[in-house]
Amino acid sequence: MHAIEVVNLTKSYGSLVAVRDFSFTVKPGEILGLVGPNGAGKTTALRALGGIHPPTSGQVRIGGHDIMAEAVEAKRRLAFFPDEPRLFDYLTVEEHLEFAAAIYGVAEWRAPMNALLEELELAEKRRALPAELSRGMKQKLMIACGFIHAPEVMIFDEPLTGLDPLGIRRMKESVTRRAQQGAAVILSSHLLPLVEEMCDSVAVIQKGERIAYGTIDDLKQQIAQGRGDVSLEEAFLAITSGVPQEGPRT
Amino acid sequence: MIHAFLFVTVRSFRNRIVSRLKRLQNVRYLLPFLVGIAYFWFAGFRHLFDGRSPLQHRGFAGSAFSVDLASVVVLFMMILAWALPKQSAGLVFSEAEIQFLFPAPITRRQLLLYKILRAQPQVFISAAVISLLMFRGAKFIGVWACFIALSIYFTFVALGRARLKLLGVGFLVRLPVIAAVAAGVSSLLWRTVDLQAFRAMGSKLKQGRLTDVPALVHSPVADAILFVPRFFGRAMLPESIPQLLASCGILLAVAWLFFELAARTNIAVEDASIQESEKWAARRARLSEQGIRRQVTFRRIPPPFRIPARARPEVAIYWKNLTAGLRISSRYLLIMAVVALYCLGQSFYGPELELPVTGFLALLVAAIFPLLGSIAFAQDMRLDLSRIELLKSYPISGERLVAAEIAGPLTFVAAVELMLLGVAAIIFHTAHLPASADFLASPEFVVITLMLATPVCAAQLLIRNAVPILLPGWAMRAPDEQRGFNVMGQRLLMMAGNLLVLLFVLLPAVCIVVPGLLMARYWFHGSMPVVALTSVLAAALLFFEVWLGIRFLGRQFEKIDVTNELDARGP
Repeated sequence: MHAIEVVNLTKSYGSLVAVRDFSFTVKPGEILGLVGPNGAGKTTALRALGGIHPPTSGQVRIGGHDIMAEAVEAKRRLAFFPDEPRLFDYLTVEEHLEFAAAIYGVAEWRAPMNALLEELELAEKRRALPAELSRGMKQKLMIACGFIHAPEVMIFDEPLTGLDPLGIRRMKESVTRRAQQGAAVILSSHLLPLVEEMCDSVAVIQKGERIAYGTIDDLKQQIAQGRGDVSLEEAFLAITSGVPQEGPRT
Repeated sequence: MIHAFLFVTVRSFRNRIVSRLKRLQNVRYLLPFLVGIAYFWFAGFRHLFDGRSPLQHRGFAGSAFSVDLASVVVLFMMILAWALPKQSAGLVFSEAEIQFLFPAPITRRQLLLYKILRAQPQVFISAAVISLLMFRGAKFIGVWACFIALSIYFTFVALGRARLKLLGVGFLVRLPVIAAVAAGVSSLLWRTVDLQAFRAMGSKLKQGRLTDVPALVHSPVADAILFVPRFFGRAMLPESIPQLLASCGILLAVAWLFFELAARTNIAVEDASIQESEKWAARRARLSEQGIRRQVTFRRIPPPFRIPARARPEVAIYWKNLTAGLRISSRYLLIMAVVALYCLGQSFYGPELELPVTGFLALLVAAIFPLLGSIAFAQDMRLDLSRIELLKSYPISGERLVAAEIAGPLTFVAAVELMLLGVAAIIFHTAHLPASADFLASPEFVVITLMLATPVCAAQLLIRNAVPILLPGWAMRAPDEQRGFNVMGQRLLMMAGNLLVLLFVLLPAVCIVVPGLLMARYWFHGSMPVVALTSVLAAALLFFEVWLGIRFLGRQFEKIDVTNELDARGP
């Protein structure tokens, strides 16, 4: 069974169609990169996947549960990581994790909390309020809150914004490890080398429509057309510059 | 360079006006805008076409006395500006201005000029509003010139204070010096004040003929002290157009002089400005969340309880909001506890005659507390609106989320309400009430008020929470949308809507309570079980209405489109 199944997702704002007939699937353990130019509809698509706003039409299934019809069951399985960390000003780092654990029904949260605080280098700040944290630390706390319930599906919107090089490396390792443990991950980023390094497959979105979809190797080979190896960046530029492409998977 | 500065100033002003006007195509913004306009019209602008201004009505315009009075006010503003505690050279710039201007090849003098130019649209609007409300016609030019000169003077003083600090003259040294100067100037002026002018003012003010009152001060010393301030007075309250034009010309020259002096203070404004701007931006961001005070003032207060293992998400949200309430709004709990203790103390140790007054005071506070308490304890959807993206990702239905969000502040508001009603009941029980108010001490009244207190508070909190769910754009304004006709209109509409909906919600309960009480009194000889039954029925009805409201708001919450409502707010 697919961990994430998106069928003909469409999202409109009045006459503006932000995402049109967007379809893809992600298996457990797979990391899908969602890339596209600015304003392509990536964040809109991710928010619809996370159940944050209702799709105009189409279907999103998380772990087999429809995100609209069975919202609670679907959301229990996922973690959504926005690009901007919005924390509760009046809760400490530790209390944030306690709260997130309760929201997702994690009974034994102390041990995972301590492990996450160590893993994300927040242990020394466990009693600090968000106002006392740097932008990068807030981002890490946001990520820790998402990890606390060991989600089956993780949706990242620009996850590395504000992190230092060491933080970026740790984050990459954390996400990859969780994928290896069976989590399905969608990662939206403009950092194409990061996508190339971490993701198994990629969906390219432009003007709200999927213009390419497949494994990274397939896409690169398709663009290279016997001209030797190309990077994902070159493939992305070729795809988004107007050359009609569609990956081998549908 | 000045061309570039003028370009950005004029274009920013124009674009802001255009975007605000465009937004009025949406009825959601048009309606509050019209209400705001109507409010300002009835508050003052309706006198616009009466002919004479309020100041003219009172004979202020063109009188030597009023010019002197205005000059003295301006003089003391100019002196006391030096006594303000702020002594950093920080000027507030926007993030964009810092990014564009600070690394740009412009001098500090040009940066200062830019800052002054950018303030001019605001100065213009302030002068226009003040002159519309208090002055008329050509005097707007004079008011505007005064505001320009004063704005530049205050910038000069701010930099001057920073320069003095660098020279070792800090706030604690400045304060006594400025106090001495102000006292000295006051003394000198007072000696020359024409007391007859003051006496004459009293009678002439009633007749609206201040022009007949002689000048306030007459002496070479006073004339010297008021030499510059009198240009301000004459510009605002000129006797004639030539005097207005001459005063304005001189004021602009004085403004230029202040600018030159400010530029020559040679203070490094950059670092302090960045700090000041960050603080300002944070303050504006806080204000943008419906003006709710989000500051964590009691950060060491522990959460009220530990979340039980395997608790439902609703419990976690309730826990979060209780913690927030304790850390943000504890001061209100303390204030109400002091009020209750005072009233209780009065009931035991106070004079017996004052007891009914104290009881009425407690009852009055209890009567308005559901309204005030719902504002003071806003740790619910209103506080969480900026994190709506996060809330919507939680595995909890909208209905349960809304209920859990309201439960936190309801605990505080209902607790205080019950405490106040309890205190009032104790006082009325011991006081000798007049016959007409005797019912306040009756068990029926106590039972009914206590039974209905919690559902009424819940209803009021639900109404307050409807605004962020139904109209998120109103509840969470962009930082540059804190003022204006639109915001005033929104506030008035929200206040009127709140009261109207509350009345509507309370009406069915009133329809049960009043006949129930009458039945109890006339058919059952005031039977307590009947009174209790009536109260239970009314409270149940109110809770049912609250439940319906929660269901409705929960569904609306699930339908909120974050992108539509929040990302697109503001121009």
